[in-house]
Amino acid sequence: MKKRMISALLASFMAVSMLAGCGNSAPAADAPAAATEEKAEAASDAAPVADGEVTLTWAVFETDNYTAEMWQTIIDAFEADNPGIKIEKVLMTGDSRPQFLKTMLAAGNMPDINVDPVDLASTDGIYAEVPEELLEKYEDTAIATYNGKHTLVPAYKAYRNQCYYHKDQFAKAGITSEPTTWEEFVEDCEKLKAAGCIPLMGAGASDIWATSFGYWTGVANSDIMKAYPNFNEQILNGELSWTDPVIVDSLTKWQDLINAGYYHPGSMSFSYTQAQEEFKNGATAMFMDGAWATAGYDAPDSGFTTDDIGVFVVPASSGAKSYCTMPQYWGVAESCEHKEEAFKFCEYVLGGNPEIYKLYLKSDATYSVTKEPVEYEMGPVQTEFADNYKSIELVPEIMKVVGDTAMPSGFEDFTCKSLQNIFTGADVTAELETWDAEMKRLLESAE
Amino acid sequence: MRKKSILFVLPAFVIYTFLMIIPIIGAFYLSLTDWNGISQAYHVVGIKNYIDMLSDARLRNAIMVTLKITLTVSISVNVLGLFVACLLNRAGKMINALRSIFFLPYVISTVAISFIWLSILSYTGVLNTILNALGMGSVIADYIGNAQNAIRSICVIEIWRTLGFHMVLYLASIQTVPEELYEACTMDGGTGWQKFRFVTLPMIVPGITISVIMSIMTEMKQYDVVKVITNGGPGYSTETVTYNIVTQAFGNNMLGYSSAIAVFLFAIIAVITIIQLRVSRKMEV
Repeated sequence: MKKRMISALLASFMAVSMLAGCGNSAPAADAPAAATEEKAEAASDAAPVADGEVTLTWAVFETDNYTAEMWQTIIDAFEADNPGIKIEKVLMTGDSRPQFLKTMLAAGNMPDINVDPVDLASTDGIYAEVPEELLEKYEDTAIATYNGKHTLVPAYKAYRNQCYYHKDQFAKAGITSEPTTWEEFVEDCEKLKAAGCIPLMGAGASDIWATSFGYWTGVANSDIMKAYPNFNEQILNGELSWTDPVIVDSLTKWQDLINAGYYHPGSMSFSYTQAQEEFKNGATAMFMDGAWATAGYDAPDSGFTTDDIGVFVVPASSGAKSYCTMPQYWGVAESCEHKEEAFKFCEYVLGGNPEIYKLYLKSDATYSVTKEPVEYEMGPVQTEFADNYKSIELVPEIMKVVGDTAMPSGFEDFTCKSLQNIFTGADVTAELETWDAEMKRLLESAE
Repeated sequence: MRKKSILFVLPAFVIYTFLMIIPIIGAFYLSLTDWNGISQAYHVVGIKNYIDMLSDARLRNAIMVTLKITLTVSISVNVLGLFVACLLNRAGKMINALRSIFFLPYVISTVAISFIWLSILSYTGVLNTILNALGMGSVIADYIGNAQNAIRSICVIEIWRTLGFHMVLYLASIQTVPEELYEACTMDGGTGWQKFRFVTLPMIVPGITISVIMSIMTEMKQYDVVKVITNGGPGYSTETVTYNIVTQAFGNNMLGYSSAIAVFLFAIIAVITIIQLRVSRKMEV
């Protein structure tokens, strides 16, 4: 019997050991000094210096727009102009870049320079403070502050999403102009449905972010920011609740679209890429997609012209004339042994070499944040996309605000899942009540 | 002699201690802290994490999902595994080829398998396309984006993936049953079913025990299929305990809390394993 008990315990040990491996061992009680030394050791492992040559590791991710070739072009240009500094690309794999970086940090292998470092920036000591002379090159509105510190290098701003549509399907449904009010938008959905077209494409499956992308980041964000221009500050200090009538009303209108059958019935089974592909193939008439998609439609081999594809800002039901923008940053790890060279690289790519900055911006259809604007030739769809913003106010995206009024880590993913629940029929108010509870829990744990 | 045998055990003991026991003890310790997994400061908070677990609705949901998957998959793979093993045992020369075919899904990367199934189960995937082509458009369903179907899909994939492994375990057990026992049963006029019920089944109880425990452990730790196919969605409908642990640790920066959940999972697996061992002991001949 004793043997059996031991074997049972061993079996359980085997199970839990899988989980034990997920985390680093706990820091010692008097950890700061020891951990810093460990980090320095790890950094020296990651950044070997040979014959005066400095090697910096650079964490990036690849998409259809951010290709391996594009990153390599940047690296080659920098290395040619800066002999003695080598850049080693670290590819951030998986669907969550913050999780990738946290895992690298826990393993003591934090890359020297990180693209998309926002999630970790709120924790003191992860990223090095950016030299003032470098920050002076960027627009004041792009500077992020955490506890009085500037630890992020502004990289670009992205205008989030608009609604792309197939012009032939609009024509088939007898729609002659883009909707300018919420009522017109709903009417157009009805006309499309009556004409045998599926009006809207949604996305879900493993890409939980894609469910929120479109209505939540576009329309609802506008509704909320119109009602509460300082929303992040107010929600974080408890002045507002997620069950505020403005939010409930906006999300209920979204659910009404879903309940009316305007979304593709397979939306929740499509990953973002699948959903985009289905839309391109004409499965639906409209798809609320990111600014980055313009690069795909404008590509010479895309098969699309402005005769085929149009794009418009989805009108908010509250009449809000605003749309959101998201800043993006780079960070230099505090553990980096060659910070001067690392910031030199940031400066070079993010404005120092205008041609390289243009390449970086154009690849994903983003916009410069340097005081001296860097512009590039835009394709027709991107031009239309940018022109649509001319008459409306740009506001921050609630979940992407950086600095002291940023949402707690993990909250955005939570809300995306909750939005999937709403998409599949959950009660809007009941779901939003969970947002209040989760935000409180995450804020408390972050204290 | 005793000293020599200790020397033989020592390497395994050292490796096991450093790679498993110490990290596990570390996880126990972390579960008593509020460490976020990033910063260097943390506090010992006692059993607060365990108390917080009691009011965590998302964790309760994850436990229910995990139990549903574990129960469905464990019962299915053990019943089907035994059935297929019995059939294969009579397959003669084909036994090796068939065993390899059945075992194949188990040796392919789970992530690769998940992507294959994704292309089958997606709304515009292979399955619905075939149904449509057969004129069965009315039965087309969303196998991933619908909460009820999503969990069923996960179970189907897991059954398909692990069936071969359990089949091999049962086949190995069946082949250890002495032929004389079957002969004796035949002499007594036993039918095929009676041979299975009164000879095979009692003789393979140790194999059943291993197979059941392995299937329970695998499914209690279910993560990769869920991660690739649904990412725990839609909503939280397919979030498992392990998925929850990873989310709490690396998504929410609550490594202390996630360690508490890991310890809780450890306790559940330990209890289930002990119960299973006690039950199977009574069944052994």
